[in-house]
Amino acid sequence: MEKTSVNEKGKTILEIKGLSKSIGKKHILKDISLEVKGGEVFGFLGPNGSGKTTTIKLMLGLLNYSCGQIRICGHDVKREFEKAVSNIGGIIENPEMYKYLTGKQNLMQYRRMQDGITDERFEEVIDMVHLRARINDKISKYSLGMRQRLGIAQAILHHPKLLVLDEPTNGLDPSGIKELRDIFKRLAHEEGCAVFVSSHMLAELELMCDRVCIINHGVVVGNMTMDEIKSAKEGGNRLSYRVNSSSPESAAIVAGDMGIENRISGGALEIITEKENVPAYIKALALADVAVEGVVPIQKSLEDAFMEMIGDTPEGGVGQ
Amino acid sequence: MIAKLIKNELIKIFRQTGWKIITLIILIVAIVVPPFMKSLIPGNADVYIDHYYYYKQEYEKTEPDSAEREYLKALLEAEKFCMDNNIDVNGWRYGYVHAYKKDYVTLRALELIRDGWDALEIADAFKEYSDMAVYTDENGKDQLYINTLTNSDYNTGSFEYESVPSDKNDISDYIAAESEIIRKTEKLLLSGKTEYADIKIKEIREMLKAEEAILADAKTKFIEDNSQRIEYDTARNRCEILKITGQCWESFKKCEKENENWIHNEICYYMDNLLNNAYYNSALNKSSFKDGKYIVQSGGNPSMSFNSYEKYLERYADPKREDYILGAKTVLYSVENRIPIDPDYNNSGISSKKWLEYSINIDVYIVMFFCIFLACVIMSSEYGSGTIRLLVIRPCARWKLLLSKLLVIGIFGVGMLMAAFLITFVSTVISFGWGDLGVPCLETSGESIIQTAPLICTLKNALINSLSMFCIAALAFFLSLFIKKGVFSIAVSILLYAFGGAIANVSWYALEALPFLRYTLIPYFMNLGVIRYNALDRAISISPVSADYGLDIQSGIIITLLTSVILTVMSFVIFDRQQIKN
Repeated sequence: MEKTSVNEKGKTILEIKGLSKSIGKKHILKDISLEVKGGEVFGFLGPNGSGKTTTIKLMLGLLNYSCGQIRICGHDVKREFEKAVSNIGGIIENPEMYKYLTGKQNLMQYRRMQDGITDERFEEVIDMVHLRARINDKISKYSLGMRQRLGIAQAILHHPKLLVLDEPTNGLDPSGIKELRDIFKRLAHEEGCAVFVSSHMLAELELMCDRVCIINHGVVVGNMTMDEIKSAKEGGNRLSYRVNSSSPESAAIVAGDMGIENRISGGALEIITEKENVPAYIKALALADVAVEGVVPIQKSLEDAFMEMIGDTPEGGVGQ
Repeated sequence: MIAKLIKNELIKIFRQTGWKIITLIILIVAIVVPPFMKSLIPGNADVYIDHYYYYKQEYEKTEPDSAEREYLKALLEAEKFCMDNNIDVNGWRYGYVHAYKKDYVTLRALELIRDGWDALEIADAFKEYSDMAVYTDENGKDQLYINTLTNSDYNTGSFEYESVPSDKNDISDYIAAESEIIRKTEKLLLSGKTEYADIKIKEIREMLKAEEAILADAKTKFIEDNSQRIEYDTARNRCEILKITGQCWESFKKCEKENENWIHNEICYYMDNLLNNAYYNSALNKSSFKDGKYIVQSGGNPSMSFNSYEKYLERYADPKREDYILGAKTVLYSVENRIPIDPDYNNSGISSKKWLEYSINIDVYIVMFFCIFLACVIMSSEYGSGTIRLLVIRPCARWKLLLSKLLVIGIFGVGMLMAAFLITFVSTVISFGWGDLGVPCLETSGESIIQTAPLICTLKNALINSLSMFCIAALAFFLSLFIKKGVFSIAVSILLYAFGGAIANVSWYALEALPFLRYTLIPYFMNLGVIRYNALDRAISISPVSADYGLDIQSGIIITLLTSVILTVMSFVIFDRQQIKN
């Protein structure tokens, strides 16, 4: 298989439309729709039992779905399974390998199941996941972190266009987590791979992802870029700013005179206004002799956005 | 892709210490079984030689004027007769030596009773090597019983017991009869092969004369009354068998080489059984016509009734009659062409062909046991360890994954069988020598008698025996996919392996009431080795054989293979649609 081309960047690699799954009368997933493009790291998060792993299993063909469509590089997973899956590399929960085989032997098992993996690529992947020193040891002697890294190695052996990872940083130490983060970013941004990550570690996703999708009770409740989350629009083009000044009360009066929404919070003034109004506001503060140290946009964290969306969501969800 | 998947599976199997040990066990069994078998063979020389000196030692230990001493004295006299006349107990006379000694001891016992010894005391002292026994009659009184062997009984092998009165005056008739038997037997023992054969041929001609008279009578009655068909067919059977027996004895006359002793045993053993069955135990002979129906009683089974002879034929296709004649012709072919039917023809216990067949059958059972185990775990272990998740998310259709695993079970089974056969063959030759390994097997096909190379015969039988176990492997594989638990499929497989044959045997008794069972696997399961009777095997069997129940080996093989295929197809269907939840 040829290396994922940087030309895959921006192209839709994964497309899910109207995906639903029910077991009896119980709806596990309802009308899930999302897209993942080449070159982006896509975070998929939600509380326990929200349907993340189920969605991933449906994408990988491990489960059957009631209705909807999943296409990978244009190939339907149900109708063209082999073509669709040939573009995927994945790990689900803890990647189980054959304990009586060495790391290398395990990788060879998966190498044989797919064409086009050269010896150079094989060795390159072992180095990428930093298992060179232990690759000839049996899996039974591996730590959890080493098994996780080997799992990632089998997922990226064949230069997949879509990398699907469910809790990939499980069991890794901070340096291991950083290494993986760098790998995923490189795969996405330099090699054009679409990386689909599901995790509970919001801090990690915040550092890694370009876009996140939040799912709750089987329904997508939010799907936005990290920039959109951080910039936290209040409605229309209005943003929140923190005004660091010597006299928040005086600054509040000036804001009120200009018709700018404001509040005192934590000993500082927060205003909500369009970005274009900020320079005029700063000028007004200076004219009013209010010393201003800075007007900075208030950035929401992923956790904030997550808790907001999960908290606001009634049972049954509001969709994307 | 499938070749690569097979390579993957083979690597997984043989990288596990457990399977390396299993392979080693199989190969060790293949090596040690033949010499182990050899160690079990009793030193046959001990059975036949030095009898006289052994009995003499025992004689010295007994009390004078005791019944035990009289018994050993009689035995010594019989042994001395054989020793003095150089009667080779290992040769073609050996059956008669045994009978002679028994009759001699019995005669002596009767004489002692006549002379005033207590009958029950004598019967008790002589019971080890005579045809005497003591039973309690309906009045609670102990009665002496004696085997009243007649001359013709040597041919039919029938044994009749009569109660001998304890009153010594009535014993004279029995003494006279036994004396006559001994006289004739001594004459046989002292005769050469040609003389001996002439005596037998003369006896057979006399019997044939009597049987042809019976046949003529039966034919007349049949012409008058169609319901007499069974008696007519039975009489025809007996006449044909007697004619062929006569031809066998003619061929025996031409025996000159010492190592052709086995021909006597083949004629006596097989012809005795054929004629015995034709007389007493055949389904034909146990048939009767009553109240407008043909009643057939076969062995200990419930009787079956038919409204007409044609209906009877539909059920039996008169198989026994054709099998008797073909069986007799097989014996004649064996004698004329000097090809033994029974590998252990000299009863020495040493027949390379026989032990090779036993050893190879053990190999089959061992290899197939592990094959079944492999079928149980090869898929269930993927579910149990969780490796199934990474396995199925490959650009490889599920049916290819499953096919590779099935092929590996087959490769393991066939590979191990071939290796085990080869090793066992070499080990057999080392343990027993080449011996009769070059002697062809005799088989019947339709109305023909064919020679088959012994190794091909042995391998064919071994493969037929293994078919049922391949079926268990297919079932085990299916269960392991369906239940995803190796333990359950192992348990079911072991139960079937251990008890499947017994269940199948029992099912034969239900075939009359439930005839559809003939088209299922149940009566054939683990029984194919029993069903592969040829005509001679069927003809000499006194118990009902598979064909009597409408079972045949071709149907058995087809049904077994078909069942295996169906189970395999079901496995593919299940796996293809299976959701991998864990």
